[in-house]
Order: sequence, then C-alpha cells, then structure tokens
Amino acid sequence: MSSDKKVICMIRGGEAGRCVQEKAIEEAKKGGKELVFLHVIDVSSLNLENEDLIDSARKELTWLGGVTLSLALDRAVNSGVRADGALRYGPLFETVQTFLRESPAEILFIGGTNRQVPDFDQRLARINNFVQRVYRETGVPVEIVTGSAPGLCDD
Amino acid sequence: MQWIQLAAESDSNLVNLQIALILGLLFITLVAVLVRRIKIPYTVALVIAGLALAFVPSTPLIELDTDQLVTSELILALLVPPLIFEGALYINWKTFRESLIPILLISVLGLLLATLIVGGVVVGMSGLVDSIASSLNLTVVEDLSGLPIIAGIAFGALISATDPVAVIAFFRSLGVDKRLAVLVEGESLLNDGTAIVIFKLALAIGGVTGALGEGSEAGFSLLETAWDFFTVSIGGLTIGLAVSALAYILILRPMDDNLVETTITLPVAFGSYVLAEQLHLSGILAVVAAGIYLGNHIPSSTTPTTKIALYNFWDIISFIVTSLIFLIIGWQIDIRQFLSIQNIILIFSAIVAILVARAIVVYGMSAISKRLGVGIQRSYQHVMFWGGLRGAISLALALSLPANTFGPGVGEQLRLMTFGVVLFTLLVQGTTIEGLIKRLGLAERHPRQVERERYLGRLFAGRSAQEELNRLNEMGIVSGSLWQAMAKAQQTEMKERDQDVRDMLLRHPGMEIELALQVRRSMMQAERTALAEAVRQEIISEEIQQELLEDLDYRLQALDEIESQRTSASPDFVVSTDEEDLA
Repeated sequence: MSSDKKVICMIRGGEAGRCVQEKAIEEAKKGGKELVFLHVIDVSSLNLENEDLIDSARKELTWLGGVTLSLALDRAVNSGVRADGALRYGPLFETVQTFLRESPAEILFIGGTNRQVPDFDQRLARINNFVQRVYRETGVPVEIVTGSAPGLCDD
Repeated sequence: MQWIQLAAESDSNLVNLQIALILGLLFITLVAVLVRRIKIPYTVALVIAGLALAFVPSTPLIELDTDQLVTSELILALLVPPLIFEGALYINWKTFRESLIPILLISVLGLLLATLIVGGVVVGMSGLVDSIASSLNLTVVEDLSGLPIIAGIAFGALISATDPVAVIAFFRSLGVDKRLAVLVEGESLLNDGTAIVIFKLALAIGGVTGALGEGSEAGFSLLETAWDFFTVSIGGLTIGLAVSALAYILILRPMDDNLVETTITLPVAFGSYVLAEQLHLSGILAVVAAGIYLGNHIPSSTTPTTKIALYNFWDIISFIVTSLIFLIIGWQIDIRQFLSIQNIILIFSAIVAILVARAIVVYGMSAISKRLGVGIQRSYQHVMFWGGLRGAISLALALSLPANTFGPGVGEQLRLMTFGVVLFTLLVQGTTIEGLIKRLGLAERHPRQVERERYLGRLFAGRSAQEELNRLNEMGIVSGSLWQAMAKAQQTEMKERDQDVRDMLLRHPGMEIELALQVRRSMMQAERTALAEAVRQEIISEEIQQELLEDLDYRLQALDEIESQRTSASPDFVVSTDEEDLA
C-alpha cells in the first residue's frame, strides 16, 4: 500500500452526507492520510437548453458546491485531518475516473441513497453499478455509506 | 349641429365609461384589501360584493346605459380571451400531455354529457315549476316556465365550464401534488373552449344572429352540428397555433426587449380570437392554442426578465377581467328575483343537476381513462368532483345572452340561474374544498418541512425582537442596567433558538441544501434591491442595471431548475450534482 495515496470522499446528495464525511475523516485520521473532498458538477443533468441559463446554472452549482466543500473541509480540519477540496465539471463517471487517475486514491467514499425513498432499490442498483464501474476502470475500492446523521449512520 | 350633439353625447359616454371603470377598479381594490383581513377566497368576496352592488341605488355620477355597454360582443371578444389566454400560458405541455387522455375525456366528452344532463334537468324542471309551485300553494310568476330545449342546452354548456381559480389558489397554499393541479387546470381550460363552442352552436341553432358569424343559419341537424363542432374546433386550434407561431418566429425569438415581447402577446391573444371568429371558427380554442404554444416556447427563448414581466402583465389583466365580470354580473342581475319560488326551484334543480352531472363525468371518465392506461387516483377524483367550481366563463357567457334570447325573458332567466349556480359553487363548494383536500390527506406537508418552518420562524422572530431592543436602546427609551439585563436574556434565548436550528439540521442533513437554496434566493433578491438603489443614487446607469438584472434573473431561474430537479429526486441528479451538508 503506497503511503501517498489519498482518501477521497465524494460530496453528493442524500441524507447520508454527514455520515459519509465522518466515515472518510475517520479513515483518513486512522491511516494518517490526506483527505480530498470531491464535488462533481454535471450541468447536463438539468436538461437545460438555453445557453445563458446553462451558464447561470453552472455558476450557481459552483457557488453551492464551493460552500459545501468549505464546510466539509472545516469539519475535517477540526478533526485534525489534512484535507483538500476539488470541484470538477462533467459527466459523473468520466470525471471521477479522470480525477482518480490524477490523484492516486486508496479508497473512495460515496453516500448511499435514502432507504425511505419509494424507488430505493432502483437507486441502490444505480449506485452499485457506478461503484463496480469505478473499481473496474480505476482499481480504486469504493465504500458506500448510508444513514442520515452521526449516530444514525449505518455500519 | 347634429354632429356637435353626437360628439357631445360621445364625449359624455366616454367620460361615464371612464368614471365607471375607475370606480370599478377602486371597488375591486377595496374588495381585495378586505379579503386579506377576513380571509375568504377572493372570488367569493367578489360575489358578495356583486350582490351588494345590486342593492346600491343608481347614482347620477354615472349614467350608463348598461344594456348598451354590456353587450355579448364586449363579453366574448374583450373579457373572455384574456382569461383563457392567461390560463393557457401556464400550461406545461409536457405535464399536460401525460394527463391528456383523462383531460380530453372529461373536458370534451364529459362536457357534452354534462351539457345534456343539466340541459335535460332544467328543461324538465322548468315545465314542472308552475305545478310544483301551485301544489305548494305558492304564487307563481308569469313567463318564467317552460324553457325551450335549445335554451337548456345553452345553459348546460355555459354552466359546465369549470373555473378553478379559487381551487388552484388552495392547491398552491396547501402544497397539493402538481399532477392534480394540472388535471384541474387542464380540464378547465379545454372545457372552457368546448363549452363556448357548444354554447355558440346552441345560439346559432336557436336563431341568434351572429352567434356563428354572418353565414350561419338557424336550424338543427345532429350530423351537421357534430361536423360544425369538429371543424370549428380544429379550425380554431389551427388558427391559434398559426398566429402564435408567427409571432414567436418573427418577434419573440429574435427580439430581446421585454416591453415589445410582452406587448406582442396582446395582439396574439385578441388577434387569434378575431381571426378565427371572422373565419367562423372557434375564437376561444384559437386563444387556447395560442396561449399553450407561447407559454411553452417563451421560457426557452426569452430572458427571465421578459418572462417575469410578461407573466406579471397577464396576471394583472386576468385579475382585473375576472373581477370586472363578477362586478358586472352583480350590477346586471336583479337579486330580488331570487325570491321568486320558480327561480328558487329552478336554481335548486340546476345545482342538483350540475352536481350529479359532475359526479357522472368525473368518476365515469376516470374509469374509462383507467381502462385506456392513464388512471386518476380516487382522492384526486373526489377533489375534481367537489372542486368543479363555476365562475368567470359561465358568468361571461350568461352575460353575453341578450335578455330575450330563445323567447321572452328566457335569456334573463338563464342569467339568473347561472348566477345562482355560480353563487352556490363559490359559497358552498369554494369554502369547503380546503377541508376536503385536508381530509383526503392531500395537503399533508412533510413533518421535516413543518419543523424547519417552525424553528426558522422562531429564529427570525427572535432576531427581530433583538433588533427592536437595540433600537429602543439607541433611542434612549431603555438603557443602563435594564437594557443590559434584557439584552443578555435575549441573547441567551437567541443562542437556544440557534442551537435548535443546528440540532434540526443535524437530524435532517438533507434539509441543509433546501435552506442553502432558500438563503441563496434571498441573497439574490437583496442584490436586485441593491441594484435599484444603485440606480437611484446614480452610481450605475439603468443600462448597466438591466444588464446585471438579466444576469440575476438567469441565476434565479437556474436556482429554480436546481430546486425543481432536487424535488423531482431524479436518480441521475442525486448521483451527479446534488449538494449536501451545509450546516
């Protein structure tokens, strides 16, 4: 195991957000690794046609993403972990793949979907599919963290 | 000399019309202000105000010949098109298309069925009114019984057009599912068009001159009527699409000027109506098609600034027109006629008929729609049944009837019945639909949302109290140790409330992004205000303000899109672009 490999934590939607960050911070702290929070913005998922609107949506998502990253970094620093944030644009899988090639990672943490949503199985299948693709293409193991808040996180 | 007299009369009429309009608008504003205090639906308040108007003695200030002023042309050509156009502008074609089968079934087949049921009941009852009144030893009034069949059909059509303004307002305030709103709004829009086509066909068959244009002839043949219905409807829709597409391609798409783009929608709304009517086609369906076409093309081709200006403009037009229709009907109807036993029996039977017809149409057509693969859940059907209020379109069509249409006093009789039914639906159904929506569990907000509002409400109120305390201290009203003690107590309370919000966000991390979006929106509104202030202080020019406002409007619209994607909870979005954990 190479010591300069980082722990990557994807910041994405869902109730598991707090849990995935806590888990990633814990993992980085345990191994003395650097933690990188990754936030991917894919404006095309909004299905917009107007160019000006697409541009505005990109700006807004960037702004919100910046706030999200900043909060996650604060949380990591307060826990005594070296952390950095990365904001990337593009289709989710390809962007993550490129990022993992640029920044060698020991493990990638992502949040799972909320168990209470009506199409939980369908979403979980999509996430599992994503996880398998990432591992197959990059060799980086992916851990899915579910739960809604510290104390309510699934093991 | 004769010319001078004519000119003087014309001036006098114009001044009277202006005074009437000013008083009318003042009255509307007054009712709207009162409604805010007494918390009843605006349309219900207008009906009550209209009723009150009927008892106001005529004033020498305005001497208007109401029969000359309130003509069928005025109602159908000036007041109805803007109402229809405004409603159509809001129809989202994609969502509308998903529910098109039940909407078409209810608004076309259902409306035909309802017309026949209601028409049949009121015609049958009108023949029995005298004998019922006599058997009850009540005094009968002459000339009010025995409605002709075609008058019953005209009444059935005009009274079957639903008006969901009051219901939709409840949907919005209660946060009811969008699909139900689309079903109700979509049905209303199309049944307005269908009702008007049948109504005008009935007038033409009844021999009312000009009902279907100069070329129309009186007489009745079921096949011809059905063919007329088809050609008039399809022709009207085609004209509307052509006019709106032309305006879109020539002006709306290439132009970037909110004044010009808003203005062009006026000739589109009225022009499509007039053109279709001149060609003996359905002007109303032309307006429906034009409204839907522009409503679905404008957002993608114009700036958000134009979009906001345009929709605000039509909201105001619709508000004024709806209000005027209610006031005019109050002005025109002699409410004392309600005291006649025949009228009470006829109105009562019409109310029963519309309720029975509505039940058959909603539940029956929903069952057929389900067989065709598009079901409507049962609770939605109950709301559609009881929420089938009647309003502006029914009143407008009734007002357009000359007093002696279909026979002496029949037009007047139909107006009275229409007013009675509209009054019932607004006062009884309009005031109970909210309870039904809640009872059916369609208004239940997520406990998380309620919790968030409660905590934020407390926080905001506390901040405001703190500011007030500081202000009073600065003014010297409270100072020294008393102020310090109060400030300390307030700060402790604020810390507790702040902690409550933090705890809440910890319990519901997903709520943080909702809060972030809400705060971001408030920040943008503050930016808007700041730009206006910068212009006022001559720090920036209006040109720069417009440029920056346009950018702000795009960002606001982008936030709407982001929020809308979040609430639709598309798996793609959740995996790719959502944010979280902002506390």
